[in-house]
Amino acid sequence: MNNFDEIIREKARLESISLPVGFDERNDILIEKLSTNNVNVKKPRTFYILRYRTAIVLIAAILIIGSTTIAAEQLTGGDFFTQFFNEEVNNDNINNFGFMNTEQLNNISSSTIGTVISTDEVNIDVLGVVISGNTVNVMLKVTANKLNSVLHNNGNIVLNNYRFQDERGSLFESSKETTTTYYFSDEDSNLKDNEFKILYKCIGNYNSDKYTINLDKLGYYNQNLDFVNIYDAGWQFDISFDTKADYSKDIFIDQDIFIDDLSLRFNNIQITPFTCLLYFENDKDFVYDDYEKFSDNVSSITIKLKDGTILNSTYFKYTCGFDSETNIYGAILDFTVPITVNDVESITIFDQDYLIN
Amino acid sequence: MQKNNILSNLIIENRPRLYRIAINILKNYIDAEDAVSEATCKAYENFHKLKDIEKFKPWIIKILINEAYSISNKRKKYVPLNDEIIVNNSDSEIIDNIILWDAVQTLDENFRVVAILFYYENMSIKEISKALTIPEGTVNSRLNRTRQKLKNIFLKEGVALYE
Repeated sequence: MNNFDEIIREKARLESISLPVGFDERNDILIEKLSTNNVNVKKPRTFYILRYRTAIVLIAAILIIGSTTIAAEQLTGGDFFTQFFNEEVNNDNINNFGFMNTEQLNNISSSTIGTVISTDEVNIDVLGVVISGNTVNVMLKVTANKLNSVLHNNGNIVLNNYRFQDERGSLFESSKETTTTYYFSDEDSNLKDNEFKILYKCIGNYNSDKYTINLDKLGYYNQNLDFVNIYDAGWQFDISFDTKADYSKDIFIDQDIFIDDLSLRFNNIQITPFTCLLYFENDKDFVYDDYEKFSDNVSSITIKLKDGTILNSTYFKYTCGFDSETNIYGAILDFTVPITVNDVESITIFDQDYLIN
Repeated sequence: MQKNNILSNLIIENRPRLYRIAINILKNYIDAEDAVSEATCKAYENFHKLKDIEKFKPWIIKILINEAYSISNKRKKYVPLNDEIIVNNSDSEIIDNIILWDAVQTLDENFRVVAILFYYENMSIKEISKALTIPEGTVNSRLNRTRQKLKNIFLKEGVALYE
């Protein structure tokens, strides 16, 4: 230690730590769950694939605290996701999810169900696809036919076990945000050792009646975090966007809002059973400080249902972001369980209520 | 349950610094929070292995660093985050705002991490060596180069920090 070090340490001590909006609250929830269970609670391995060639750049943190068991092995389509969300609720002994609506899931389920890839090495089954507006959930089951196990625990929680090295295709290219979660037999007792599931949660602009998923190279990451390629191949299949119904709503707001000296135009709200997106426009050139004012103040969003239930950040994951080219800011609420869009009465943001109906 | 309460309090007390280290490695809010979450989970899984509670801070920092590097390696396989919010500030920006954090962000990753652990977390060379699983000599060498780089930045901007 010399004088320079001491001065720098003192300077460092005086600098505050800037945490993302809601960081403490999300970590509190995780800690509460871990403490309550008094046992190991494994977090599903979740990857965020952010594609910056599309509009919204996500910057705030979102946290997946998922259940670890899915007991829906024999179910498919909307029934699969009904069971999936029921399990989510059953694994949460803290919150009340009485507002959950799974009855709508069969109507927003794609006809793409069943085996889509069948080779000597790999089978891929679509367990379910549910689509509404700008939000898609896809659950796949992958079977490595010639392997005894796809578990490869190398000590790295995020990367252990088999997985695809790359995930491409028009579904992901059309998505602003994709969250990928892998499930293995060590956490899901319905899976065999040579099987795993992948859940893709995508938010994007979907105007086509069909989207492609390309999964490339099956293998695992070794202890040096190099990818060990077991099958150097690619598997491609289509997902039909042919649901019977769409319960999403796009509400035109077009009102000015003010955050200190920052003036924004609140353009619109897109709400689906799974997500709620709010868009704001700044008519000046993009300045990050402006966005920061927005992101610092946008966190206290709540949704009021017609029966008086208030949905706060306990019931959704919150993210916000911007597109520097258009200077549009966005906030994304990702609901833990599907809601009834028609039951939403109002959304409160910046201390202002916005009626939805 | 008593042990869980102790662990909860320790994590709550330390999570701002965990986030600061993670954001320094990952330069991405989402990944940084993910790393803290993973470290939190791992802390609960392995708390029984921690024999000396006084060593919680270096222990959890080591877990966090491992998680952050795991995520970092995975992220490199995906699309580069061109519009990332935490970017290397240019020298001209530093002229306007000499904040140590900004100066540290201009360093390469290896030096950045050493700077955070040494200057912000007040960790010793030995502790950094254990946390990063690199020899103490390497930490020393990186720290010397970090000092020089920081001195150059501050001198360049006319800030005589260490007179």
